[in-house]
Amino acid sequence: MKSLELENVCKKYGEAVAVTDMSMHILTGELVSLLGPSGCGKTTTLRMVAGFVEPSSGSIRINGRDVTKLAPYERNTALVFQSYALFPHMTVAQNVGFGLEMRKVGKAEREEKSFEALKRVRLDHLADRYPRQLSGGQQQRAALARGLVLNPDIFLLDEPLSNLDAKLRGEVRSEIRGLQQSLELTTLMVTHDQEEALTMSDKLVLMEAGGVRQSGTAQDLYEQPADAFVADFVGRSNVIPGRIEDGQFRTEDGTSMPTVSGSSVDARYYTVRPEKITLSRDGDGVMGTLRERLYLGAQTEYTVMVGNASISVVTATPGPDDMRASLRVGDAVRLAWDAASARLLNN
Amino acid sequence: MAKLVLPAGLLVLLLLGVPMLLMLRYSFNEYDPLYIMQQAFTFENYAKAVVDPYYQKILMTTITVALTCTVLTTLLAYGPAYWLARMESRWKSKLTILTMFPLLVGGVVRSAGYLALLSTTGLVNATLLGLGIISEPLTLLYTPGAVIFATVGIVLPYMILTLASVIESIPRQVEDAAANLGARPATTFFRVLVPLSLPGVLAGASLVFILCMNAYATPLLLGGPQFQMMAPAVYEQFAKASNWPFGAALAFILLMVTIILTTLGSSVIANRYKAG
Repeated sequence: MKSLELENVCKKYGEAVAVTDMSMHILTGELVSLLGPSGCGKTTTLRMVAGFVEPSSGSIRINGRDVTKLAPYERNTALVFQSYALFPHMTVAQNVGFGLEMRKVGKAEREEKSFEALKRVRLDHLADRYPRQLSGGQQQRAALARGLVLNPDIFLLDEPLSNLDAKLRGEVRSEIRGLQQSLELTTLMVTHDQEEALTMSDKLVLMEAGGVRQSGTAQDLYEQPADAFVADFVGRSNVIPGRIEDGQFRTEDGTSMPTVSGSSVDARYYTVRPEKITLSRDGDGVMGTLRERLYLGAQTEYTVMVGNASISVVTATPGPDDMRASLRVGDAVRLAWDAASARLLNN
Repeated sequence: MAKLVLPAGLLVLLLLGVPMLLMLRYSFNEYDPLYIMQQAFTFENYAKAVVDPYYQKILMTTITVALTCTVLTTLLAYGPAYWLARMESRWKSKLTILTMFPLLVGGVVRSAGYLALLSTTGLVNATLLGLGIISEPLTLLYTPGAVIFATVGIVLPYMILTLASVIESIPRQVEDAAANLGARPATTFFRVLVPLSLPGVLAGASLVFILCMNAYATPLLLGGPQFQMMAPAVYEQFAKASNWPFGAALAFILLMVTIILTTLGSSVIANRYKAG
């Protein structure tokens, strides 16, 4: 059984707080993502698990053993760096064998295991090449092989897709997830890309300003955001400030929004996902003015002003016969959505 | 821009190449006490320098001192260079300038500084005497040790700056990766840092070796009359003995030996590391 536990981990640099009161638990074979904007403390957390940064307080346990004070080379973690950090003066095979060599594994066994790991990432035919002779995607697979050959307690991924072009990204995403699941790698991944986090993780930990804002499954975070920050960061959301009056949510300029009865009277934000809203020329719903229309191919994104609030709507691109196809900026439109698909948040 | 390359190149050739060619020509001339030299084409000057045990010893001393200084400088410079290269604070640029600072003062002046440091009444002896650690001043000056000590001090900035710029180009993540894979700091140093900084080590060592081979002021001021190195010997032939042909031959022997040893040394070290 493998596990990673963080308990009330804090990291301060002088007065500046990088990570505060971070607690989490990863079980065997789970992939947990640390998600958040840059500077939220996710990378510092990853570096603390790897041992490059010592926590100011709190403890880190790997497989139940306290490793808080251990040096990086005394922990059995495998970190795949954002820049891959392959050794440029060693061949791919030597790179993959390096960790085994450090563990005093004999030459024959080392070569066999390296070859096996390279085969897993389909790089066995490039074992004698130098990193500079590989493409970005191949370099990343070499970096993955270098980590997984060690059968690490914890697999650490630092922004694994950020250096790849958009087309390769989807492919590598499923490849990494496939490897992680088939080898049951206990994995902590850091990413700022919510799509990456939503598609790859068993669990997400959303961080902001050094603290955890919400953790849970992708569905939890998407369907039940704890606050306006989560709603806005995970997926996209219209976050409209206002208050409850007579059981109805009213925006700051008094426009009334569809509200389910019995909503919390303390609600200060009204959130609704762009894809839950239907837009029409004349029908039921909230009145607004079309301010912008972005053609995205299969989808079209509209920005509509409702009073002072700007609301995004994403729909399948209307066909030529559709009334909406002829909409112009400045036209009056109607927005409608099910009151139950909106969420009211207190902060 | 491109139009300037040719005239600039010709000017450099004129300024660097012509004196060299003149010297080369002189080295084959015959010495004449009256007219300094006679036009000739003889290898006598070279033969004399190679066969004479006096000059053999000077050449050997020069090579030994230069090699010792190069090795010591490399060993001493690596730590500070690494520290400087990996520094992230605002002090980094200030410290880099501070490292360059000694280069603003010429070698002669710095050698004079070491003279003041090492003489019988100098700082080191005065301090040791004052503290009662010694009862009589130590002979520090006019020893090979004094020359090596001062030469290392003088060439150290070149080495630190060369190494630091190369170490800076090695991503820190590569070192982190080694540690993450289980390498202790010493292993990371020998298996990752040293091979990756080897171009810098070779460039710095070549530069320092050349500077040491041609050291003039330091051996003259700190070595004393008994201690002889090549550059002062060349000067002596030109200025004191007025034997220009022989001085020129000595200068060309120094040049050739420096070139051969620098090339040989670089390729040997580079190959050894490739094999290991």
